[in-house]
Amino acid sequence: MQAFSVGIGAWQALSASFETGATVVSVARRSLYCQAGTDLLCVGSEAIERGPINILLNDDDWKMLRGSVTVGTRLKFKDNLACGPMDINWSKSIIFAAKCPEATGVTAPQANLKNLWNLLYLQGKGPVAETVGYLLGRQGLTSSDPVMNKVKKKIVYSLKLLKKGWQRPYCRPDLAEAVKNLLGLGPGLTPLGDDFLVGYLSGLTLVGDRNGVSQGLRSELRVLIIDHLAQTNEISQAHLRWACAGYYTEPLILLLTGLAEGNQRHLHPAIINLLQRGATSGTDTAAGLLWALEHGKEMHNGYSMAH
Amino acid sequence: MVIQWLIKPKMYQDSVKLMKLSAEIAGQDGIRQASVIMATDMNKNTLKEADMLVPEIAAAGANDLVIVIGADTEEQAKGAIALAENMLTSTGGKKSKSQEVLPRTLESACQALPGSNLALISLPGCYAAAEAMKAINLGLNVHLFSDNVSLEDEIRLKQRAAQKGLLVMGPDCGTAIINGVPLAFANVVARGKIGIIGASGTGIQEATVLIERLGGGISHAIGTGGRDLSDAVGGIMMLQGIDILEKDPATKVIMLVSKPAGPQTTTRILARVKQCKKPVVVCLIKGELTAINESGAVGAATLEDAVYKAISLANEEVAVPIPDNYWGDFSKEIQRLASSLKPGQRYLRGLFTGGTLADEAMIVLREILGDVYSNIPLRPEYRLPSARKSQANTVVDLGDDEFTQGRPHPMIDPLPRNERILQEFADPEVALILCDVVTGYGSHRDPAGELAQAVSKARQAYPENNPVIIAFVCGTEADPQPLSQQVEILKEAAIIVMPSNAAAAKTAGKLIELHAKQGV
Repeated sequence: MQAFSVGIGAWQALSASFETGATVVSVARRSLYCQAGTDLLCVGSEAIERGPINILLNDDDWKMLRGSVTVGTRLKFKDNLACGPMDINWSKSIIFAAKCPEATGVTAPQANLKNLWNLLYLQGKGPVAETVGYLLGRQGLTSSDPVMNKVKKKIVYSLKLLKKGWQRPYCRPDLAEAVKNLLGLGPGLTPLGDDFLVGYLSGLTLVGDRNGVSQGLRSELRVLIIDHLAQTNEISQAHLRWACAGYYTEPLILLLTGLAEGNQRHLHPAIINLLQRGATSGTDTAAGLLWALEHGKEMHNGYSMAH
Repeated sequence: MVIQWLIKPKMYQDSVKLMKLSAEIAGQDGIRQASVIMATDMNKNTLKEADMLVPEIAAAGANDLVIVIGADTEEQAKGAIALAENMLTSTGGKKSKSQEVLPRTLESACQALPGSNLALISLPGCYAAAEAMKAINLGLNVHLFSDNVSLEDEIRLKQRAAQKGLLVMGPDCGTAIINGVPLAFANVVARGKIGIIGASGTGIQEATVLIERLGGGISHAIGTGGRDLSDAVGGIMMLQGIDILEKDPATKVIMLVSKPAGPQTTTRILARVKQCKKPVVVCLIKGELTAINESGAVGAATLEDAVYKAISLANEEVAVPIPDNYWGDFSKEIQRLASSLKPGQRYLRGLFTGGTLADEAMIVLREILGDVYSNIPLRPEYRLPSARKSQANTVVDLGDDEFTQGRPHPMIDPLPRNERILQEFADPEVALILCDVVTGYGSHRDPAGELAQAVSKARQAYPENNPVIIAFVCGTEADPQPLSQQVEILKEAAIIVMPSNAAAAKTAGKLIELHAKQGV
């Protein structure tokens, strides 16, 4: 069967393990994870969209593959057409390696942040959306779920620490505390705190400010995330590692591109598409991105949120 | 509280499945807490703070999926764990009973169900015509839900069906009720003496709902598909429907509902109506009444008026227009609402999921405010430059093709209207938003809840603008979404609920008119 997209991370892992292939470690409805050497790959249907560690098959091929594998099955990947019926064929021409546009100085009027926050609040799902609603003064924080209440409080705490990072540039203790509190936090295969950090990193990449604070913060944050990666699971680690290198999933890239170009027509469908990803992953990532843009906007306007 | 847990080492399930699992468990009796999370340090720490960390979970690793249940009794907790285990290992496939064999062809379906006389076809348009023709050749009436059937195929199918005395309801026929059985998008209404033939899905829905609300009932509601009354098709199925209802002993009054027909077809239909032995009420939305009344039929400009007249005729009374304040005097309510508006709030925005409901609202509004802008305007010069942006007084049909290409109809997925509500709230000149809420089979399971939530969020997002919201629920108590519950949900969200679409539009128009006068 023919893959139609192979992420940069998957390609790198496969390049090192052609002879041995990859072992399936978990199978879900729309995707499976397999271990290639020390790396994890995600093979799935078109619905999971392009991403650094994703290998996409058309829906018929995916159904056939899913029906024939179990945990422990060995998958073979080949970069030529001479492959068996259950082998996955790919070529370099389909490698997905989209990076975030570099610091373009996205400002408030371009991004129309208020509308984007409204869409996130209206269409977003899960504890991060609710916490954002709380921080924007639109709803209370507590619910009947005591564990989720703790999660939300940690999100609030961490988001405030991220703000402090802007108030006092290169304030590593605050940033480190935020990263430690967010990594591995909350429900989801990729915990919500991890998804938020991916979004926040992408936002920092996009923001250009007068004194380069955002780029300094991004460097600091990347180091801190890599240092504390072991706090989260292997799948999330793979996503975070590539996010730190500037590679993101396709829905996030589309939104970042829309923001960088200031194209209002593209922004609305792009954020809606991102918000629909996963159970809450899209919302969590979008919230991280907007949080970074919000901070960037305030720096651009010459004041800090903390004031 | 009793705590039970389940650890699944290195199990990676997608987050959507984990969320569904969590919600399913949390909904079980006696469950106070259900957490489905990866056992990362931070999550274990959170469980500890909530007094739900047990040593086994503390020892689990970040790649392990853990399920922690807090329940009133041990039995309930164990039951929830068993449910979780079952859901995690389930492949999601549906089991079929060994006795049930699904037929793979229309022929085998007819053999499996002798005496069947109707096929509902919902296939991509390019395959639908061929299957519809097979059904007609097997002597079956056809409800053709599919769209994208070519005009040539439609004519061919309808001519063949007419030769055999059969119905082809469609293509693109969203609503029908045959012998009391709702097909596709339809409401659960009482059986009775009025037979409807309609070229409009929501038109039929509103007519049947209002008939029940006014104490009447339906014998059959036959959909024809939107193109049937074009001169190209010539109203083949409208005529066939009249023949069938004229012979049907349960039908005492026939009601025709459509947008304006082609001129030749109008003449043919009205000539047939003139010959009909049963009274006929004709409601051609946007159409002229003179020719209808001259044909001997009873004309009506709105669905509400048509229903009122049809019920009078079914009760063997004279058909008179619906009284002006039939549903009550809302003038005090209008004054109260107008006084809550700011001087700058001037415009009305109608956000409809049903095209015919939008049409009817525009007809009512035209009498009060003059023409309004729309993507389906009454006059071409009032067409919106972009359907996605309102101007002055605007009524939008969100079920129009422009909004539904590649996505579900807003009666199923209210997202486009939810977004539009937010957009309209952002405009400080908007005084009033008018909405329909369509329930019944096929519709969203809680359309009122969706509308209420969207309005609530929009109010929070733009507290400085607070337009009046007026809605009409096109539904009945017996619908899967009971009318009283839907109305209650809207009222709790401070949405004004009117008893009919026309009444809602009239109230909205008068409110805008009054506020404009007060502003001057």
